[in-house]
Amino acid sequence: MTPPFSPARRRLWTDALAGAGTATLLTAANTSAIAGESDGLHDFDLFPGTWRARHRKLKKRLAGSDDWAEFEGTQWFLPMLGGAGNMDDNVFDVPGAPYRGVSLRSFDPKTRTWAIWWLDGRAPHKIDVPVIGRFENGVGTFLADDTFEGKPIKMRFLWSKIAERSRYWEQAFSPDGGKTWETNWTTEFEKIS
Amino acid sequence: MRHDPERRKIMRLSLLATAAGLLPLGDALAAVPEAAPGAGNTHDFDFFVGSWSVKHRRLKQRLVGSREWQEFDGTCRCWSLLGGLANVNERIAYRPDGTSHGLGLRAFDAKSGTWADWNLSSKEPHKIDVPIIGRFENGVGTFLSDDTHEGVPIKVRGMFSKIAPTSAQWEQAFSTDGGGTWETNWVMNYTRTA
Repeated sequence: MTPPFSPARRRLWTDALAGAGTATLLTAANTSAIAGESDGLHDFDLFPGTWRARHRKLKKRLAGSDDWAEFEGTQWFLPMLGGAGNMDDNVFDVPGAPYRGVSLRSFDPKTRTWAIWWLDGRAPHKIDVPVIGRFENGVGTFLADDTFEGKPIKMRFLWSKIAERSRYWEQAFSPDGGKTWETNWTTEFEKIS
Repeated sequence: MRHDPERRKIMRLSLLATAAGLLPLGDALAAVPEAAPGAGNTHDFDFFVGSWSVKHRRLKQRLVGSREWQEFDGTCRCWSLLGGLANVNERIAYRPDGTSHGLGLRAFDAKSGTWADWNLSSKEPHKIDVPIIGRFENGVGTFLSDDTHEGVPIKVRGMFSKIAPTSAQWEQAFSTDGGGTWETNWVMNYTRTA
């Protein structure tokens, strides 16, 4: 595998961290009124950096399929606004059809929840409905009402097994209002730098 | 010939930025489709990548004939994403009524040759506005959307202009008559800090 990001990219990231450090003074002051272990603002503190991703993606969704595609990818995760926001820039090395996409996350100190938007580089003028949620007991659960092939579904992102050098993500759809879920995408992340 | 002096300056700037390692253009994975001739391209926002100090002038009340402006300072920082196909910025503004912050995300659609620009503010951190959509022509980027202001349908216009290596201007205007007349309600003057 070729190096996932150029040295230029790494410099950009180091630079970004320096910037974020300055911004922390501000936003941390704004949100420190909500103190305590579950304030939520620090939910993504372990996420910044460059990560190798191992994706497993269900080939057909909500069709009873058990046929999975496996591919690798990379993710570059950037903290913003001293922690009140963040984004990640992803490369999906799908054989023959590599593509890229961006997540943007924003913290609402009133509800202590995060909204997560997804922008697919192949449809760059469309931003999906955000999934909204928070971490509890080490698991981040983020939900949205969306549609799949014209039918209403609930969509769920789960973040779990969060550690310094690894983390796990999965996406599931529910066609019955959240009673049953079909996981259609899982990703194991391993930190590169 | 479409390469006006402004555009040449931008290109020169982007080359400098690349040389300085600020832009991940060397990224072999950045397979970005070519846009149609005359349309925008993935370098349109190269000028905006980096750190800025910002002088804000904001109309206190909108669409009521007010001429009362408030002035305040702020900062802005922009990163290039997806090999140029998108970029994101954070901004902090020290407004008279308190510090606010926000995020902006712009993404390029090679098919239409246009950019969509979404905006997110700490005042409503889970709400992303309708994107303004547009492109650069003769050094001026004009981005439009249909939106509402206090329940009334309006057109929103964002404009980037006066783009130079160390400065740029952004302004926002609303129109209640379908774009016949515009009221500018926010001007930001950017000075590069890094």
